[in-house]
Amino acid sequence: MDQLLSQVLSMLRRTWKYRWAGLAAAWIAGLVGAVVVLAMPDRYEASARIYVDTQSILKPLMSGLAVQPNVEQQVVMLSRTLISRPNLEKLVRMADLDLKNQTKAEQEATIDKLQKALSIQSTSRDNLYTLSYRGEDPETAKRVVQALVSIFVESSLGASRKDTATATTFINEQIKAYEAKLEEAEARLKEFRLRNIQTMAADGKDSASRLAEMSSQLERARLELREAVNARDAAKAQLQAERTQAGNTTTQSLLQESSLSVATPELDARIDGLKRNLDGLLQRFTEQHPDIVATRRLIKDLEEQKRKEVAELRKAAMAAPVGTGPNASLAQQELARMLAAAEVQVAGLRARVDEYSSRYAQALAAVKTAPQLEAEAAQLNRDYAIHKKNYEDLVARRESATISGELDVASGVADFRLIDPPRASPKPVAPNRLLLLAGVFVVALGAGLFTAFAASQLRPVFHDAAELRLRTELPVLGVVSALVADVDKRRERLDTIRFLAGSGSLVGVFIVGLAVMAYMMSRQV
Amino acid sequence: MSMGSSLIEQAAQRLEQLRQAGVQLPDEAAAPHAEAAPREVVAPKVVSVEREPQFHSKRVDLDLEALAVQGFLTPQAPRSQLADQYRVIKRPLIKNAVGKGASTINHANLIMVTSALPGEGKSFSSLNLAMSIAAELDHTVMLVDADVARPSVLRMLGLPPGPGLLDVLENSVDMADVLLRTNIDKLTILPSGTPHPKATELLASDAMSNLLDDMARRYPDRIIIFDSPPLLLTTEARVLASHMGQIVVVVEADRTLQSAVQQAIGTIEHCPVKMLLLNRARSNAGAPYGYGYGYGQAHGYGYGHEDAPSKG
Repeated sequence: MDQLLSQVLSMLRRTWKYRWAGLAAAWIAGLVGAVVVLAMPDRYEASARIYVDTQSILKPLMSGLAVQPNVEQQVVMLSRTLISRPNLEKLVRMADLDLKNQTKAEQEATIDKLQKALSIQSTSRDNLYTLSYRGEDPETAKRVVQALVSIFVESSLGASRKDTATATTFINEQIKAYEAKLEEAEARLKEFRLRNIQTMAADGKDSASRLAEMSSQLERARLELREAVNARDAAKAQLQAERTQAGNTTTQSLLQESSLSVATPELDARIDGLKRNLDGLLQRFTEQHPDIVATRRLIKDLEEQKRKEVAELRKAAMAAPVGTGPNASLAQQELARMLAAAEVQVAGLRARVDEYSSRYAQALAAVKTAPQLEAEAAQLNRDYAIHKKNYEDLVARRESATISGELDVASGVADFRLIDPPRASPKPVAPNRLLLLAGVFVVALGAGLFTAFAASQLRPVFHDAAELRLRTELPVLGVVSALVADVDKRRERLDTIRFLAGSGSLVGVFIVGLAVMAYMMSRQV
Repeated sequence: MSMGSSLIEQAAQRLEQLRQAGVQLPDEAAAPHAEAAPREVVAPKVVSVEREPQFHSKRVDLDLEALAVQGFLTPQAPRSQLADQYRVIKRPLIKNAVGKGASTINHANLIMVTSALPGEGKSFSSLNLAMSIAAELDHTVMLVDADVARPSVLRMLGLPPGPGLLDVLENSVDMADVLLRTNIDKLTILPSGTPHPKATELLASDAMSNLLDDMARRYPDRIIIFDSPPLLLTTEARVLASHMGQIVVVVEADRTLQSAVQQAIGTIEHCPVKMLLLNRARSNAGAPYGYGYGYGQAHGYGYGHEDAPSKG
């Protein structure tokens, strides 16, 4: 701490050596600064409050899909959109700001200055902004703001219509594109259906379920077949039982052999016919007529044959215990009938089972290729569904855009509205001369100190023995004090007084200046 | 810390230099004294023999009051800050001169007072130093004005110009003829002499070095102070310095640039014994517990301040 203090003191002492240079620098800096501050032109501000439908202005930029930026970004984007070059050029012409500009460069400079001096700030309410401009005199500033506001109002009408038109065109294009896609999808689907028509069941079931259905049908048919077979077997068994019962009694009825009616209808019919012929012939001829003889011989043969046949038949009938005659028991007949029916059913069911089996085999073979087709079908269906949905969406949107566009046009200047007309403050708003002057004062003091310090550092001298020893690394015999005569002391004192006067006057001038400035500014209110 | 090591380094360097340059070992200190006597009888050719001063040298009277008013030390003056400062300054010089210093020095009783640039207070310091040493009991002092370009000793003392060192070097006179004895007992003065166009070359000549050699050996208890030209202006000072035993570089506080001082010290690099003296310093520029302690304006050990020059 001690060392630090001594270092600081030695620095101060060194700076003191160049005090006059420092004072001069402070004076110069102060004067220059004061002149600059006083010469700065006043700036007057004019402001107007406007209502801007931010979303509609910024919609072309953001296309409705982006995340909403925060308010500051919106304000920035808004100011860039509204305070654009074409607007500024119009403004310059309208507000007569280019009367003095002769070259293009000057024009550009004016426009740049304008851009910097205009600003849009957001107020605490949404969509309400303050448009302000800083100009050199109140009238100009007010004119500029007025001109800008009118430019906005004019352009907003045109802008909204243009917006709707562009939006509609865009949507129309999209709709056309989707229509084409939709048709294409439909065509593909149709083609696919044509190619694979047999796999497309009318009831819409896919092949797996059909296969299952068919297999169940087959199972049912098989089951029925089994049942039928069982029934037939049962009937057969019963008939057999009945026959054997009937057969046990036929040995007792050998006598009834002759009574067994054996029917030989054909022969009987011929015999009857011949007999009738014979009768006829007998009426005309006698017994010796050859026809009659032939006929008689024939009748005899036939009767012979008939006797043989009957005998045969009897024998057969006795051998077989089937009751073929009308003397067969009713039960046997009934059972025989049932058996026949069962046989028929069995045959029918067998045919059905065969048919179903073949169909099932076919379906099984087909089921292997079915999934791929089904997938393709599903995809085509889905594509088609999506395209259809998009298309419908776009059509709906177009309708709503048209409606909203018309609404905008109908409602007119909904985008932009002037809330407070432009006002210019009669007092200049900048620069704050008081503050600047104080700043200049501080800077001047700083400059003075810095100059003195820098000068002392640039050409250092020795002030005390310690420093001498340090720098030269040689022993210091001692220090001889300066002998200051009274004259010198007086001179030094005068010098100090003069210096203090100089710096004091600098401070005094500044204070007086500040006071005057403050008084003048308060008088303006 | 660095200062301490540099001192030690310097001492070692000095030792080396002395060993290389022909050393005078402490046990040989008695030898020059024995040599001095026969020397007088031999009478070398180049330099004129200095006979017993009281018979041939001139005597001048210095106006001590005037000197005191100007700010110089005078023997009768009461203790003052200046006197005490010079007391402190002269002590190491005297110690070195008698060989009680850190190491043995060649021509230790030849002390050269110089500075980097003119106007730093060499003449003032050398005169005051001479006055201060003249107050010593065991030593005599000779003040030589070697600043031949601008001799100021005679002017400071208020004496008329006269022959001096340059005349001796030209071989026209003897040293005893130009030496001035003063009313201060132990102080003799050798002025600069008649202005000569080749004054600086004379200083650098062999005659000068022989003269120096002779002066150094003649009386070992005589301390010779040379008021030399500035180091950076001429080269003769450097040449002179090579013959000197001790060199005191006067630095004016708050005015001489550090770079100039460094440069000046660089020119006398080869000299073993270099010391600095800070002149015209402001208050508290000395050691922190400087001479102000006890020697304040009014308080202190009752030192009168009415006729001493006021402090700076």
